[in-house]
Amino acid sequence: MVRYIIRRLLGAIAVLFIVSLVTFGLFMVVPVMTGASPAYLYAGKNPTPELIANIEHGLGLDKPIPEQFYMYMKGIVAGRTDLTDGTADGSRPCPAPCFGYSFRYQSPVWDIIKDRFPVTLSITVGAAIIWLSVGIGVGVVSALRRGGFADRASMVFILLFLSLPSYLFAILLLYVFVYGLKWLPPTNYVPLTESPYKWFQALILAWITIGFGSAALYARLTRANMLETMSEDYIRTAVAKGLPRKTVVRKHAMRAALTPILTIAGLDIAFLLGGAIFVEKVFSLPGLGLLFVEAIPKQDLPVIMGLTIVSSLFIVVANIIVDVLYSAVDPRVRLS
Amino acid sequence: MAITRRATQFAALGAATALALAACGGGSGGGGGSAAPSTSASATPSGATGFNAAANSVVNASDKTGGTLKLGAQSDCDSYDPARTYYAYCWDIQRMFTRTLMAFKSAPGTEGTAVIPDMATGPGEANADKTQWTYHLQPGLKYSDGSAITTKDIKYGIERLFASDVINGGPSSYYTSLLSDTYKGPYADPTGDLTSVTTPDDTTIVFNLNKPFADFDYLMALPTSAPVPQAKDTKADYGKMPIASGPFMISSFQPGKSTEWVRNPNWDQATDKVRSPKVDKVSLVVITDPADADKRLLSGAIDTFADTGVQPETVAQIVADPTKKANSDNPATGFIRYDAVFQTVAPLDNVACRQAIFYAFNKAALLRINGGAFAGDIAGSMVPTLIPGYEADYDPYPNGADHTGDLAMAKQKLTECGQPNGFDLNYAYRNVGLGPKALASVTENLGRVGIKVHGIVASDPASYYSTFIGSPSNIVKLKLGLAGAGWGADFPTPYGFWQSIANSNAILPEGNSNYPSLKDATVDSTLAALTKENDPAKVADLGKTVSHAVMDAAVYLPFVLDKTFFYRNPRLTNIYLNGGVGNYYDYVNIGTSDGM
Repeated sequence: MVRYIIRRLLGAIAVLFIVSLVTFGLFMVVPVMTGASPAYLYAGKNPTPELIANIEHGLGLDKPIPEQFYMYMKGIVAGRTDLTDGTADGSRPCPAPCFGYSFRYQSPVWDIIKDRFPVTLSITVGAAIIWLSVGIGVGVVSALRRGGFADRASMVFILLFLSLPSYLFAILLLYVFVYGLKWLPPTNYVPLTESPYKWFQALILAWITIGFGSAALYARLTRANMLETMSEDYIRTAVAKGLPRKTVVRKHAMRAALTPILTIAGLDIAFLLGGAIFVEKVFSLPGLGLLFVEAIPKQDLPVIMGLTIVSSLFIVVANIIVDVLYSAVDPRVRLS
Repeated sequence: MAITRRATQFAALGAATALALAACGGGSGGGGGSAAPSTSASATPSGATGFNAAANSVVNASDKTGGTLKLGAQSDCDSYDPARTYYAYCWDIQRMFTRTLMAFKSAPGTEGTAVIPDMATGPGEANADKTQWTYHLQPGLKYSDGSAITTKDIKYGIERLFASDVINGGPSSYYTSLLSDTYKGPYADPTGDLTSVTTPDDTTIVFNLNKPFADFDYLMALPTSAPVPQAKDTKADYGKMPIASGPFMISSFQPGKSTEWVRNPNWDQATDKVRSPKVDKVSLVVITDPADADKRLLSGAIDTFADTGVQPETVAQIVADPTKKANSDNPATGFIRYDAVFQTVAPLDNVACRQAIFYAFNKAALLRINGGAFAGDIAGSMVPTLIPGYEADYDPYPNGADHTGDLAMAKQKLTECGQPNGFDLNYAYRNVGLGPKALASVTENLGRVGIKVHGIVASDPASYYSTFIGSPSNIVKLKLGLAGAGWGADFPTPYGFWQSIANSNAILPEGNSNYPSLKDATVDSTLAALTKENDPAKVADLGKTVSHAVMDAAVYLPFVLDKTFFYRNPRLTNIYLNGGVGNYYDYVNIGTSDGM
């Protein structure tokens, strides 16, 4: 097990290095090669070539590309002290993990990500609780009551939320509960530590939007997996041996049926941790997704690169966790 | 801006967006001091009310104090460092906590475009050729920490602008091009000095320019020239918590989320003839979804938008409701939308071919695309409404009573230029915002006279203005004929409006704003004359001369003068649109009738 985890971690580091390399190439090398230096965005009207060169120097864009990449990677791993901020020696400490300084916010990218991450984490955790509990619950009940009222009702639920565009659902929720019924105030995110009640108020509609939209998909997957598992020979054997139905379902059927769900859930959660772009925009929740949306038109390259790498990190780590958990959920799976 | 810094880059933000750079002019420079807008000495609101009332008068005039002004914005300020901000609304926000030697008068409409002394005792004292400007500080000026404001701080604020590797984003080139070619700024050259600026004592500052600049009082009214005490300069981080000299100071700032200001205990009304603050607190919340933002506005959760107008759907809702309409305004932003016509590419090197485009152009269609009557007015010439030299009836290329095109005249011009059957024309555009719609419209309306339009898309929309149409060599290489763009002046004078887009000495290899590479002797000489002229009547006349010469050259095809649509909470008092700050509401003077 330990060897497996070490191997996976080394693989993860390699993947992240490649992601960093590609990201760096896409965002830092290509624009400069095509003559679209980001320095123009910071130069005001009628920038002279000298001014552009001076700004590029400040951004470190005047260094050779391999050196820029080396410094970028060094910053992530060990921190940097070479970023210009106007001090006499031109240095500015940027402790690891240093993704550089945001052009837009004039702050270390990592500080901005740390500031925004709790919002995205809050959205993700709440939504995941909803979609996993509702999705799996509805799917299991639907499979066990196949053809019955509960199954038909769950089909309606699934169809409704799968066919309802999430952007429409979000806006409907906003209009009904905030501006129609006025049960909720306009969204103004407040940290959990500051006021759990206001935190809940700010997030509930986002949770419902993502939670129910995803729950429909999970219900469908769970139902299909449960139906397939319930028709397996070992389930029939367990029933024939006289095991209580509850035990058969919980200990044998669900365990096998939910293993694939675990994989999908792990990746979905990882994707969401990288930023729930649409929901954050509609509900004005200042998380990583909104940060990404703000950074793109501003060409805030350090932020875009930092977010891309951090999002990749979530997915890589989620993959490892899911693989490890696989063996715990389903003993038939061996880590090899 | 949304939202970027350059004026031209605001063009894609949609008709309802009012992020044009600080614009709209008409007032003369200098002039005596004037108090903040006069209000009745009563706590009961009075004065003008109704639709567009804030455009030319103070709505709900009242002396009632207290409460919180709740602003909303769809995007945060580009920076709170006065030297690094370029968004028009952020220049307006700066008025709340930053004072400058001069300032735009607190008055509605055109009156607000006049610059008056703020921290200075009077307007700048200029020498005969406008190359030396002297200002004296009022006594008793303090920062929010209680320390005294001196002219050394103003000089240091200017010196920071030369450190362009750190302090960038604002309109620093106005100052750096006038004051030194060699100075590297106080960070790279801490032992050096900007010798062209001297401070004989703590209350006197002298600027020695390397060329005449009659609009210098306007530069001293921009936040870019605000004082920064060297001891408090945190360089690139200064925008996180700049020291306040105005009546408010930042109490909390969460980038991209919200900002709050409270009253600055060390600001003294007796020293300030510009501002007359009423509320105790100002909050600004970033609301990223436009529909949600509009709902919050109409529900009263926020009082007004700081950065932009309401969405077109909300405009329809407001104008259908007389009560709501009475609390809204539809001002011009000072931003002109136009097509640059590239004379460097054949057959547009022939003026008659360019004029054919002017006559065939369907301006009415472009106005519709931009959002209709509430989003703008048809433009006959380039000059925005409040810039001196604006002529309401000046339209040298009339294209029909309904502005859909004068096809007969267009065909006549085509014959005149030797292309009776039309010609092929490349149209540069961005595949974002209104770009594709504008291409479709131009293709259709020029096709009526045989001009076949081919869209040439900028692969990177963000570099459209800097290296796509901002590069004269790229224009020739791609044989571009037309390009959509927009412009707003940084300060409301003819020179402020025209210099970057019309003077041949402003043409740059990249990042060029004189897109058609106009080289016109009359334009150049008149702009040179404007650098030495302060007489309002003469300035207006010279402005007209430039305007006519540019239109005669037929290189800028104006079609829409932008307007925006603001809604104001009925509880707001002392509210008006200040032409000096881009026709945004003058936040620093707004009060609330309920004191909440």
